[in-house]
Amino acid sequence: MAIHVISSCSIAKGSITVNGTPVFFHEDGDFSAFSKAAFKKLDIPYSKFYKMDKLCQLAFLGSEYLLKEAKLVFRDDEVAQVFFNGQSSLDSDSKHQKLIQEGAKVSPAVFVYTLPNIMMGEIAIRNKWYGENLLILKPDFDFEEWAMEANLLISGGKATYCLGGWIDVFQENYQLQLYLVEAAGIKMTI
Amino acid sequence: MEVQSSMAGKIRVFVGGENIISPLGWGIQEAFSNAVQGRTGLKKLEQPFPGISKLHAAKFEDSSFSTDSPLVEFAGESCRGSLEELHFVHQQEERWLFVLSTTKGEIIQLKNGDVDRSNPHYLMQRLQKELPFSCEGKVVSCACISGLSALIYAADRIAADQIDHALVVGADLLSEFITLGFESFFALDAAQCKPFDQDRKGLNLGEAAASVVLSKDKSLFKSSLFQYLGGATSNDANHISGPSRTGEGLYRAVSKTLKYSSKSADQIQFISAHGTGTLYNDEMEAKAFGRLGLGKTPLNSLKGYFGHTLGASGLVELAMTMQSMRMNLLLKTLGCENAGTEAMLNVLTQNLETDIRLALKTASGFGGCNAAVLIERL
Repeated sequence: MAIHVISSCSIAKGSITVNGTPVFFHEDGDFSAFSKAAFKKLDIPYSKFYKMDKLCQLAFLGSEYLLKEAKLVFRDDEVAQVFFNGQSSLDSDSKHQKLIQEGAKVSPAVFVYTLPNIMMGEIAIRNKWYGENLLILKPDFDFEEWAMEANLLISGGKATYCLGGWIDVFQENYQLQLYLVEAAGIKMTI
Repeated sequence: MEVQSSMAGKIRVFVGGENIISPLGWGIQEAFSNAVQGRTGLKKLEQPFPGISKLHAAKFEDSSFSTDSPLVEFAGESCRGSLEELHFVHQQEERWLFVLSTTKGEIIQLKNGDVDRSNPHYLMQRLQKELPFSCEGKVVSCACISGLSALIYAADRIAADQIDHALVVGADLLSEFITLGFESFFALDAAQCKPFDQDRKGLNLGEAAASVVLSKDKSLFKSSLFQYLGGATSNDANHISGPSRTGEGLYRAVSKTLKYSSKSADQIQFISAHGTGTLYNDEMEAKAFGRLGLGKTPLNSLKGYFGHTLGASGLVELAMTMQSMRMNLLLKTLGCENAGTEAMLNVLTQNLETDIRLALKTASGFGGCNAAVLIERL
């Protein structure tokens, strides 16, 4: 069995590309300015977005832009999320650590984001997806390797679709390469 | 873009070589025998960290370690213990996968501004270097289901014939970082936690490492072994920090696990639950197990012995369950005197001598994630 990419979305340096076509660009400003502008353009009532940390906002934006184009309807248990992630939640970890070192009161609203898998929870909540979650930390992204992990869940009968890919955030560096894949439907023998 | 992969075959996955390094005991034998006698690794700590004056938790004595990386020491020790349970002939030359499951790795290094060393991938590489075979190394990090998620991932890779054997280790350190965070959620019990008890007030934190070996090859293991029958993860799709009120995610993870294992709920003889001791988590589990028809199945939580060891907990509790099944002795839920969840459960409040062949292990965590694994003693 092989997999087939239905849709893709990449986000970096102020620009969002869906299926290879640029769909949004925010020239100047930091991540926060970019993410707010990109979210506004989506024009969806979802105030929870503003509570999210950078990692979750990035994952959320990518999934919304991608799914809007894909125009598919999913059963609530057939989409698995599989992500490769470079620097875990170290961006939010640093914020929590800073509060500790300053002797300030730590905040549950910061602490809850000190886990890299929270973004899969945000996507699951938004889409009402009860499917599989897998998060692997690794320093770099290789699509073929990710596709193998996605295929493991699809060919193993645990999911029909897989949404995920590469996500990495630290300070003002952010990068997302998101894919929605399914079985190619071609049986291959080896 | 198309990617070719091998066909998923009918490869059986065996599990054995379980080990735990924890404040309850250095090695699984010691931890298990202490637990049988009702001892706990939890205790009252005075000023464990600069910003924390009192804490009820399971923490190693500082004198247990000789380097500035206790986590590397005790996670490495757990792996060595697991590998000692193996009988190598030619297997060292075969395809190995090493998986580290952790929530925070050496996050204590962030205090010194060392971002690279705070990344769990660094910890994995240090541990990988110590192994007596070359292998692919991976880090799985999915909150408190990390241990089971790593196990399921490794088992799926073996079943798909991508690898032959896997060493899976879960490890997390008690830190000021974690403690202050849980405190801010008012999730901690200032005294011994009481999982599933009517008066439960919260959880206790702990640190530990636990490891198991998975293989397609029965002859790799020196002692009797287990078969991994199936496992699944799910998301509650409900809230990032609050447990689901309906237990939907956990219900689905267990249902899928039963389906993949070709077993029915009434065949499960024992449940090693997550049971943190917080009001809402334990209630959520009770709801899910009730809906699955598992309200009368003997069940325990081991958090009263180890505390909540986060990324290690799933493997700590699976390893203890395997020991229980070897010894025909189920452990009571230390800290639980009067089971009191809205949905009825058969919480063990005394040790129980019984022969168990089929056991379910579950876990749930932040981000709304759930995991379940079914194992059978052969």
